[in-house]
Amino acid sequence: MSLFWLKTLLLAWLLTFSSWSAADIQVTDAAGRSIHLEHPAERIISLAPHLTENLFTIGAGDRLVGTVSYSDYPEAALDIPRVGSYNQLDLEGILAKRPDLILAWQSGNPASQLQRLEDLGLKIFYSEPRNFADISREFLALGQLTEKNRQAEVAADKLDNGIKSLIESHADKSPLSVFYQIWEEPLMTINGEHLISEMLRTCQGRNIFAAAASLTPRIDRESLLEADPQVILGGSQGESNPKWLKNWQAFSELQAVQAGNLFAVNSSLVTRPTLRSLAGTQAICKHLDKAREQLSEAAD
Amino acid sequence: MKSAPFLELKDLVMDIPNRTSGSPLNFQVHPGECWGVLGPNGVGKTTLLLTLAGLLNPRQGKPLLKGQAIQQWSARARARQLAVLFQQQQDAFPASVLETALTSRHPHLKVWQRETPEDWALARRSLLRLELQALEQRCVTTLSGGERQRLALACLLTQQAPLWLLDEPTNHLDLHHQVSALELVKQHVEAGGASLLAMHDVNLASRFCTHLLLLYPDGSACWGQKDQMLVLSALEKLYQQPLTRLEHQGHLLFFPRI
Amino acid sequence: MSHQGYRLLYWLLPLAALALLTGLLVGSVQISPGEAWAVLNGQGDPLHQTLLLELRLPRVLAAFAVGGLLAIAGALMQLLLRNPLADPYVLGLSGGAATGALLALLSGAGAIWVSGSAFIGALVSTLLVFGLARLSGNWNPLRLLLTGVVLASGWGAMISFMLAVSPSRELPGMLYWLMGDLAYAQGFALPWFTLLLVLLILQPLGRSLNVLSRGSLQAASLGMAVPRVEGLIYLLAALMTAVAVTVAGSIGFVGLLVPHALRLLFGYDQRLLLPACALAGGSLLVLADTLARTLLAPQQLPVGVITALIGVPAFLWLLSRRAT
Repeated sequence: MSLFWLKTLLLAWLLTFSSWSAADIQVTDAAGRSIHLEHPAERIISLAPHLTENLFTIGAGDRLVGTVSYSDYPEAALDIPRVGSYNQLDLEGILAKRPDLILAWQSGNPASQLQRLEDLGLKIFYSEPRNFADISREFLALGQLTEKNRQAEVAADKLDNGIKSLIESHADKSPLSVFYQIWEEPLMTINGEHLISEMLRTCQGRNIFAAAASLTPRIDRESLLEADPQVILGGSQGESNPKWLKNWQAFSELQAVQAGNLFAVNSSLVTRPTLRSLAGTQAICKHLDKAREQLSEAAD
Repeated sequence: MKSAPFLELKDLVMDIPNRTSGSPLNFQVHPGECWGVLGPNGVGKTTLLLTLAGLLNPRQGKPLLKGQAIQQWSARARARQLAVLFQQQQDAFPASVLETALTSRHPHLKVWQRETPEDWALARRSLLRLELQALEQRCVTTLSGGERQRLALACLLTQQAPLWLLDEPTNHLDLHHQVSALELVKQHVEAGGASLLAMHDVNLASRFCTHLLLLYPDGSACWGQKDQMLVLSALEKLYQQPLTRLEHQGHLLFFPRI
Repeated sequence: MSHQGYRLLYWLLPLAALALLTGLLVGSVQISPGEAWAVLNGQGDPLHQTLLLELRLPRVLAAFAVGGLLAIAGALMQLLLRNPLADPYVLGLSGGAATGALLALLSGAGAIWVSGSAFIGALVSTLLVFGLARLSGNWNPLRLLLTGVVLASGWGAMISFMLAVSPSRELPGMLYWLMGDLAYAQGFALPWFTLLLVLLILQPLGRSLNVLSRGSLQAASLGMAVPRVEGLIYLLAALMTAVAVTVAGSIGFVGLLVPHALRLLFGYDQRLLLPACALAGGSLLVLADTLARTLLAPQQLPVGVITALIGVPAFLWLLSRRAT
């Protein structure tokens, strides 16, 4: 008798849950627009490498039916069919994959092509993460869209907690003036609004060009020599001693060179707004810690 | 009683930039007259022809075409009365010889009108007259200097205008074709047309022209019937060159005395 | 000669139809002729319907019209400047349009604003060249050419400046616009309207245009109102180039190559040359754009790259032929 009631209760419970999952999904994207799905997205196209990566992070990578070139992390992403590049989309290819959701990069994808897709009735979710909080929000939004809420929360928490602990552990460290180089010829860096600057701030690093007007300004070596940063950081493909680093050795009047504070960070860890940004920040913090050591040694 | 003049100059002064005005020109060109315009290089022969054609503005006075100021004529009506042969032929484009001759029918066709079979026939006849019929389909950029000059003359024929203004029509032509060209002009004039030719060769001018206009380097000018103009001292002053006068078989010849 | 010319012209019609068909059937997604036929009968797969009618058809039509506009504008420029090496951009029109478009792109304006700014830039450039060339009295082809070349350099400097100071994220979009790209074409109505309007105006004037190629003095002596005709030609060429560049950026070589090559076949009779330019230029651009869409699919190339890759060797071959 009680078994019968248990089953009924269970059935009622399941029915309630199934009607919940049949409920509409409503998410607000980075452009402030409201995306409305009737059921979780099954066929997703990602128009930026970071979006592909973030989808895999929350466990929805298998829902991807198309992505753009340079989507190379994780390795499984290499097998996803391509639909052009982030700035030149193959509209036919996108349509042919019959997606029910498109993840777009607001500042990277061409607006007119995205408009065409919208006019043809496709749903587009705009992504534009500029800081850690944005990345966490993106995980949660993607989780809602694919009904992977739990994994999304795990990822968001991992990022939030990771960054929080780094901030806490570095709160008392002495601030360092840092120059972050994103390109050598011409010499380019980032300003305070860039994600990398937030990474630096986390480790008590101060971007000497934070106040620059453009997001990725081109600067001359003179202003760098004048600012005389304590640390010089730059990207690499994985090697620890890239060419640009060696080129700075010639400028022996820089205190960064004298103290040996020239460090390379794996580019893909810091240029893509993904969960690996945590690893990137950790790498930067490690370099800055080493820099503090070397500076105090040089002072002795 | 002379017929009404084709062209009339009343106190006409040409406009040559940076040069003081020459003496005013006053004469008339009647049907049946062939005027030779003689003078050294740079004296303004080309400028005069272009002014008489209405393509340049004079400094003073107005040329009259059939009694009406040339500026008052509509361009197309004027082009039906007056045809110009320029000193230099511009041919940037590889048109065929026949096509080029056909363009001279422009004054007789409305803007949107196509060439008629009569126009084609006329163009072909003109080419034949200038011994160019074998070169009908040839590209003009491949023609020799002499052939191009003859093409220009054929274009003149095709235009069917009674008054001809020719700037050095014998340029580039060998002796045989020089004579043919001037015979062509003579025939045209005898048939009731009129022409002005700017020329270098005073002897050819004396053989074919009925009247002469002498433009002196100092800006002065004199004009009149050929016999009155062919005076040794006048020609020596014109060309700033001592000359020898010779009479032969009723013709006057002048050649440089070295 | 004239009859032979018309026969050749009629051959261009099926060529144009073939080019359009190729553009419709070929793309990064395979559609068989049978499936295409089904779409045209109203029964096709909805995806194929969208692909063919919403994506490919407008793009192919825009490509054809832009190609025709550029080729005719090139032919007119070559006539106006009495120079077979002129192209529609020689007087700085595309520079003005590019400056307008890049300014709009930099300020983050929408696609309509980019097109509008391009058009305004082209008009400003046209007026500037015309006005500056006339400043010192009567203008002639040489003065016009020199003024245009100087202005084009000026625009080039402004474009370089904008490229240097713009945020790196804007650069790909700007570069694609400068190379010429039909991916961003907003509809085909405007270029088609312009193309047909211009052909309608020019076709009856064809014979007069032939006279003009003998030189302005000669044309004037034959009774042509040379400044008026030259002014009209300039305005029409400017209008066509402005529309073409507004729709698809500065696509090179079509305006230079097509009239030049066609003159080898048709001679210089503008009554044959201009419609031939429309058909051949349109066909060429449709085929080039089809290549751009499919050569490295799914990677998309800007069509200006293809026209340059075809154009340079083709032009060298044409030059070698003329030498004989």
